[in-house]
Amino acid sequence: MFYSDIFNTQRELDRIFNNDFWGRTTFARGSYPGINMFEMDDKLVLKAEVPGLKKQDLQIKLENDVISLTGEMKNSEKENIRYHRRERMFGTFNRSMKLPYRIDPEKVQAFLADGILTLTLEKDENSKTRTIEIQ
Amino acid sequence: MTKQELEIKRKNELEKKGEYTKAEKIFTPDVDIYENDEALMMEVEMPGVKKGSVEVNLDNNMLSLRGKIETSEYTDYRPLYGEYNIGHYERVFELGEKINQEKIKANMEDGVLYLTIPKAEKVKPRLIEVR
Repeated sequence: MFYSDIFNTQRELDRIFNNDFWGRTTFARGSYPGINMFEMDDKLVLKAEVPGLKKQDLQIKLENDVISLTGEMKNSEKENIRYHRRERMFGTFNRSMKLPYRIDPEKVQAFLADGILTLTLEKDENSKTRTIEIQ
Repeated sequence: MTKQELEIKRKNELEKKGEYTKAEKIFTPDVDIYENDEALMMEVEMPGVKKGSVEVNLDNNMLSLRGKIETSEYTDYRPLYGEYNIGHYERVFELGEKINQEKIKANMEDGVLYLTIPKAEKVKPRLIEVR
């Protein structure tokens, strides 16, 4: 059911945030955009919230097991206006993240919709777990 | 001019008068509000909210904005690592002037809600001709 789904994900996320272990291993805290990492079957799913970002203003690169997101959040041109509140942030970003294993560069899928970037990555065949027989 | 480097911002959880019965998180979305002579305009960041999941409601001069995120895709995900939390969005603004709800234009694009709220005739500055 819908609400139990969000409840479970929420609980899992809360567990991650409340655990010191994650806090210590985050080497890029403070870099934009924030990334959530999930696993699904044999795939790795990365999500980032980038409201207002256009496809053409984002560049995604994969080098070995490091993924990088570079781009610019642009504000629309406005004339003859007076601001009441400015909470949105605009500017450039350059974010790199080390992935838990090597990724097959041929199987990277990127999808940008409703202000969410979703990257679906697959493990490189060579780094997949193999059972080793003892001779 | 050098461009500003973006930094990740912590989301603000909505301070509720009463708690909801469902264990969901609700955040207050970041907004830009500006005006020109014709209208008041808002840009509300609601990443993850689809066009049909936004509710714009005007009750007297209280403008409430709600956005529901889709969570069904998360069912099969096993979280490994997280830097931001997810939840719905809610924020209420009190407008200075009474506005006709039907005149509000709302558009959802790339997870940003764009609102145009036309000003009532009397608020618009009038150019008075000096004879």
